[in-house]
Amino acid sequence: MIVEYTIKKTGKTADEIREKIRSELAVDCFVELHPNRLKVHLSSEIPREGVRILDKIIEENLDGRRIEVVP
Amino acid sequence: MIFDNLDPAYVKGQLDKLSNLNTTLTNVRDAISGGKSLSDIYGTLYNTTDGKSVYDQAKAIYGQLDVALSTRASESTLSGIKSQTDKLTFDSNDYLYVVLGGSSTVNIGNFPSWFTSSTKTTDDLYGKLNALAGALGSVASDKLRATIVDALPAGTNWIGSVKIGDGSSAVGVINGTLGGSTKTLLGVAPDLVKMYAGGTNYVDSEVSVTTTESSSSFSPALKFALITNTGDDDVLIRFNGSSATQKKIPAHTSKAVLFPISSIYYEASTSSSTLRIEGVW
Repeated sequence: MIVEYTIKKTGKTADEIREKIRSELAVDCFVELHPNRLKVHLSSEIPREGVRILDKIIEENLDGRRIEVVP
Repeated sequence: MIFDNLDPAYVKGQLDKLSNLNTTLTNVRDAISGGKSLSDIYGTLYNTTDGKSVYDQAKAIYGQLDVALSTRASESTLSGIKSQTDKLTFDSNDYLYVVLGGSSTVNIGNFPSWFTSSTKTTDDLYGKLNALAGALGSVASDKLRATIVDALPAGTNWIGSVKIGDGSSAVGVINGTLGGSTKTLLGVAPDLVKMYAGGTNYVDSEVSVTTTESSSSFSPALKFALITNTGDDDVLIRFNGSSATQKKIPAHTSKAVLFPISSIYYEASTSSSTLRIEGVW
């Protein structure tokens, strides 16, 4: 499951974002952080509520907005 | 007594036949020999030319016949030979008609006239092959190579997807250790990224590159990656830190990276370009 965001903030690393996700969602993932864009490859499917939690994490840390979710 | 039972007339008749014995021995001999004398018969039985009698001749013939039958062609062998020779066919000129290898292959009788009119014998064939050898021999030794080189794209050292290095700066030529000493080696990196393309933990992303240095980071680090500069400007990149040494990825070339990558810093040389990052995490 891949969730992609546009982001405005910088200053965070992929490692930091991954740790946030692991601690709050209890799901491992691969994070690729590019200028203005973030992709989170979740190792397993998460429910809709989980996606909302993920949105909140990205918004708070990177001022990000979700673009799409690929199951 | 037997005479007691004979008819006197019968006895007389039989006695009258004794008159038939009134002949000479000469007549008897001639009747037997067909008019030949004993000398004649001897001459027939004994050939004075080679001094051999009929017995000698018969013995000589016997000597030739008295051999093992297996030394002579048996009837079945002769029959077998005949069955094969019966298969030979001849045309109207009594020339042997030959089909090579069966009906599905070349039939000499069916060679086109342009061939048979000038190539009728093996000598003709030899002559043509000899002429061909002469023609090939007259080709300058470097002509074929020069023709191939001329056919290759000019101004590039790429042939299709293969880059031909000049031994000094080719990507494929590396310094390595071989047999305990450092040598210039031809480096061949397996395209591991393509092997994993579309598979589990495969990432494929594109980033825009400008003259201002930017970066992408990955967590966990990519195990290996293929970085391709798909744009028209050269791109300078650093791996795993903003202070690492910059490496150039010329426009429209790729760089395979076989060590973990947690971050890539990139900037365009003069204008802008695009990097494609494929890797496996």
